[in-house]
Amino acid sequence: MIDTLYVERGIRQHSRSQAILQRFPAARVIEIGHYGELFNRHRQNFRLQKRRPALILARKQGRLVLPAPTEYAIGGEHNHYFSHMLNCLYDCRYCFLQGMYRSAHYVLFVNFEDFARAIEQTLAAEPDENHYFFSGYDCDSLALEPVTGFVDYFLPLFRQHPNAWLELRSKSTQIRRLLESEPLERVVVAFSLSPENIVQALEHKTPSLDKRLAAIVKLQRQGWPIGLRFDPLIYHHDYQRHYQHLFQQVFNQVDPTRLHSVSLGNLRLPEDYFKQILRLYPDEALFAGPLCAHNGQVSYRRELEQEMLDFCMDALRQWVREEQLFPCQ
Amino acid sequence: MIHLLTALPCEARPLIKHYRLRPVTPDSPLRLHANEHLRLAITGVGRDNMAAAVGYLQASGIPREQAAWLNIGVAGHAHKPLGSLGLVHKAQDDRGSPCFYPPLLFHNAPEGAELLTSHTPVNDYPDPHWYDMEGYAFFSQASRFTILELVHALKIVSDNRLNHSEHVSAALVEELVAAQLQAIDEVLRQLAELQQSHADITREPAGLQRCLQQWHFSHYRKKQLQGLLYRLQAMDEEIPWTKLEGKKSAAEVLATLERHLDQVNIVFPTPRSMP
Repeated sequence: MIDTLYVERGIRQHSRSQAILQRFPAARVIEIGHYGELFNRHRQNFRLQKRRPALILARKQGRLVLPAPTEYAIGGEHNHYFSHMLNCLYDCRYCFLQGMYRSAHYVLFVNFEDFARAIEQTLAAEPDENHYFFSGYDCDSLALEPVTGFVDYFLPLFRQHPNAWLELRSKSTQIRRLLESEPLERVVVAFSLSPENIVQALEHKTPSLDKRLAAIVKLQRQGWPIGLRFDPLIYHHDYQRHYQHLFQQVFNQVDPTRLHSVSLGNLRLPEDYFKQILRLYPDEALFAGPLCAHNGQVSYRRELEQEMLDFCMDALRQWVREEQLFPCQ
Repeated sequence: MIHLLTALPCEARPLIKHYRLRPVTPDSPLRLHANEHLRLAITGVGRDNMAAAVGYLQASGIPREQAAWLNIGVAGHAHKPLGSLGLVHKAQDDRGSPCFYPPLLFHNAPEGAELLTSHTPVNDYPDPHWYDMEGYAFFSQASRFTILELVHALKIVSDNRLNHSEHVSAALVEELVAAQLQAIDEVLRQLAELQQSHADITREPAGLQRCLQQWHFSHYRKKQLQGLLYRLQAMDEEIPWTKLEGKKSAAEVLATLERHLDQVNIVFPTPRSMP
């Protein structure tokens, strides 16, 4: 899967780097000074690079915990995100990462200890408040779990702090470490779901809908809080039938009464990212849809967005209580 | 088209023979050989010669989206056996300039080589580098004209601590290059495939030239037209030429295409499992 590893000189001896290097004994290992020497440099092509991305092991510096976008909120007031990885194993055509980065390489920041310190400082600043941390903003939280050991490291941290919540957002079925751990009510495993035709057409390299549902069922049975993320909603011919069918499939298997949250979001991309993605995929049917630019964002026309959101919200209310629903507008 | 660059005639000769390249433009300042898919330039030794050759090839009329670049040449290494082949995965120079990291998208790629381009010959070959006198200039110049995925260098060890560079003859270099032709073939094949993919991504949409010939489009409107034609292509729709007949201006053409597109459904095929 990964046959080239770039390693920053400064973290080559870090125990996590060493463990990862041992995991890929046949890979070519290239030492670098800083990941910025190759990641996101000019004149790279994300689409071509996505055929064979390398893994870059690096140290994250600067601000490690940042305010989360408001649409990420799932009931909390203090929302933060941190990115132990940049880029994703999967290749979803609507993903903003394609427009944000020129490189498709995965960057893994191995200095988890510094992230932990930054999280604890954030908690300590307002110890009487609940803080929500989101880890799946610039990557899929679980997709590379066997390599990163992210869950192993961060679960104990969140177990220690009663005011700390964590959302693991994923399309992955890499849940073995979660199943081997005692569920924690403040760690929400949130799965992004789309109708199967959208999975097949746009969510390349991801597990099928059935496999994701099977993972959800296993985690829910074990007591893990589950979040469902119908985000982004994708407009297409007969979308109502496809989303209605998706919700049926989901709630035939998933117990809605034990869900932590269900959120829905429209397709939104910053205009600059959209232009970049369009250059990479000019022949993609998704971008031939009724999209328009407004205030620097590209999205479906306002009335169409509202129609889709209303339809899906109404459909979901058959199973989900109002307080579990979080529409992102 | 792949631009092949070698510093020395003896590096080029096995390639010219193997790929049946024919001399072109006898009055050119560079010695050039070419076939339908490859254009080989013998640049001369050193960075300046390499930089000038890249510029010359770029200016020779091949659109930048349709070209990939490969430098093939000999190099020194501390202890690698003569004839070892390396695909450069990191290139730096002896002036401390920023490194190049060509993205490695090849299947079963040759061994990786960390190249250090020196302005003077290196005789002690400090580890871990491969040493040459042109490679960095090649990356530095060629990457101005295309994406890094399409700029690569293959190096073949011609000298090491046991076999110093003063003992390297033209005949030995020819022999060493000839012995790696199979591996070079494979890299060229994959590079050509990558170049084709890049050309496909950047290809203009069908019907664009016909529209531009028929109506006058400003630069801005040409971009709009291009976007609409791409959308039609993405939806597997034919260009509605009959609806465009009689349109007098670019604005009318764009409006007609917009209206046409608004009536086309975006369809993502329904899986068989769905009732």
